[in-house]
Amino acid sequence: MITVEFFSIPKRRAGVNELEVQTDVPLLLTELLAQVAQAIPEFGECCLDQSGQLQRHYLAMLDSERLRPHSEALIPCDSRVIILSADVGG
Amino acid sequence: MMSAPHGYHGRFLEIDVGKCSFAWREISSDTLRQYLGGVGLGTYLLNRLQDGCVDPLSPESILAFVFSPLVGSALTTSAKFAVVSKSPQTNRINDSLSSSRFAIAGKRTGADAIVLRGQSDQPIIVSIDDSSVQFLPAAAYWGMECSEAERRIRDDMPASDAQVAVIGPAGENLVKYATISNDGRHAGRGGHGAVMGSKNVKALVVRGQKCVTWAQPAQLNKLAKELSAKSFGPATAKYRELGTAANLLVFNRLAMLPTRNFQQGQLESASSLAPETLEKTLRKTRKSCAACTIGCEHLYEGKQGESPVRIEYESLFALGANCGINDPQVVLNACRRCDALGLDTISTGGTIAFAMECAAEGLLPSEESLTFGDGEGLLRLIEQIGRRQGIGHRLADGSKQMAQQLGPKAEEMTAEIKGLEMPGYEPRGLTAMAVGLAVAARGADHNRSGAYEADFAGDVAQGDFKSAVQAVIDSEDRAAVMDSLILCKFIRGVLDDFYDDTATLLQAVTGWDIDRAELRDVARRIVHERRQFNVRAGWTPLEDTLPTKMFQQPVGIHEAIDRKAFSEAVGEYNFRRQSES
Ligand code: SF4
Repeated sequence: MITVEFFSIPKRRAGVNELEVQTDVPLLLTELLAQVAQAIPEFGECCLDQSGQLQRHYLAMLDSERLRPHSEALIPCDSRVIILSADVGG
Repeated sequence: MMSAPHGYHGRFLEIDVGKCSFAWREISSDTLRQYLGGVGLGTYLLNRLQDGCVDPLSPESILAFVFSPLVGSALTTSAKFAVVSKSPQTNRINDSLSSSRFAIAGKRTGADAIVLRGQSDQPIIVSIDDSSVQFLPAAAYWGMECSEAERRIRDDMPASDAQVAVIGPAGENLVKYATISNDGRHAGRGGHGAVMGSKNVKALVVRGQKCVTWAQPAQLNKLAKELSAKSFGPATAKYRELGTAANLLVFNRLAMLPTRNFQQGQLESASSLAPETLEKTLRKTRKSCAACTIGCEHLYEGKQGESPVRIEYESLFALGANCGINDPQVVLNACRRCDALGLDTISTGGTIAFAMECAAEGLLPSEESLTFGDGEGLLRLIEQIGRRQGIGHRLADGSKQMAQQLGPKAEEMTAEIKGLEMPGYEPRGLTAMAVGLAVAARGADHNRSGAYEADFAGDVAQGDFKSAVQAVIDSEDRAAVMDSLILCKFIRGVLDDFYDDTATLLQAVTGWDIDRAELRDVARRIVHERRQFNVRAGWTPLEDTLPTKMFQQPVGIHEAIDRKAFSEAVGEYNFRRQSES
């Protein structure tokens, strides 16, 4: 299982704080996002582009490091991925 | 008189409030093209009108209100102005931005900048109506809080469309982080309010009929429409829907919400302060600066009868987490009282948090309400600071000065850079931002450097200080252009190519054949000019560092910073900036 936590605008679009994606194998970010969009279509419509990547206004992080779009890195099972608005200006 | 470029008047107004005299002075087209306006032009004027060694609270200091080429156009978020002076808190350059109708009315006086110098022997209002300047008695308004003073002074002016910038009791009492307030907004950091207070000027009133011309009005209109349309899109959704306060839960989750004077990175029950929670329990209204289609201001009503208060991330961090407080009513009230007294929320919270840590370590008496989490104590201290009463008199000078009096142990507890209290970006978790904060000319500054963008974008890996240097330079350069044009930083996400897009806007306003390469040169010139002022004021590279605790204590999951790698990056930054000039 990979847990996806939503913050800021992605949280508003998803309508939930987090989502548990059931998987026995590590996933690519694209695969994870596809599963999130399947579970929460509103999130997919608002936050993903046509290629299934996060729009540039949002980003995903794993252990405080950004997961880049098209990243070949596998996200381990039992990890927590954070999706947030890219602009953290205050 | 030379004809001014489109978008400008080509002159500034220099007012001596001690002699009750004024003079109009020309600004050449070349100078305007080289420094644009806002922060750039203000720094240019500061360097030429004031010696670097001057005491910022003396009659010889200047206080410049600087407009910009875009003000008055239909471009969204362009109704802004810069306030520039030497900071009484840092003794280095201080430039703050504020916005709204004051910017538009100020430019309509026919001035690209209004410079105050001298010292009146009694409280006055400086009123500029078109080209005429009046010096009016202000005794009746002295002591009034910001919004009341602004309202009363505007009501008492003969013209109903006059706009007013005021100081509150904090500015009158020379609190070193006092603000200047207009339209409910504040030129916040570094103590411009104290500089204005030292001149005995309670308010600057502006009104006028002088409009500038635009080089390509039809093109400018088209660009303005396009920019407005984009400003309704996803790039600014965070600001429209939640405001800057949306950062709170993100930073808390990443263990980067500075808590209890930067001793921790997470606040228990932080969600009680988050906008997602506040909007469920409190009445909320949204406002925007004049000429803005984003509207990032989210105001929350407190208990019945209390006026709505604007909540920003920085205020929630400084007066909430950093003081160990998670009661939203207390934090809302603290923000309201800072706004009323004319206090910078970041430095107020930072100074109080520092004193709370000192009290916990036995360096200050704890009976002075100096305990993390003591909400009533926080509110009492804010009043005492604004009026320089009791221990507030010492807190009013900021944490650095207080630490110098308390000794070396206290100096190791401060969370400030060059004397300016830290904003809510945790350097131990943000490598590029750590360098950006250390080298910033104004002191701990999240506005003239947005290097945290490189951290979040993944362009700079955690601990990779070497690659942070270029990110910091790029971020400072973009900010120099943005803050001189002036456009609100919250629109930056909608620009496809920063330099191309801003050059296109400037071409339509001025008719200059300016391109991205020239704008980059302008950016470097402005950064250099800001550094030059600091050099003249006594800056040394040793100042470009972080608070001691950043090198000594880890915070949550984030390691303490490697001092050697960090210092090498700062050295590299200073070398490269020096080579550019
Ligand atoms: S986005 Fe916010 S700060 Fe910027 S101009 Fe609009 S209302 Fe003002």
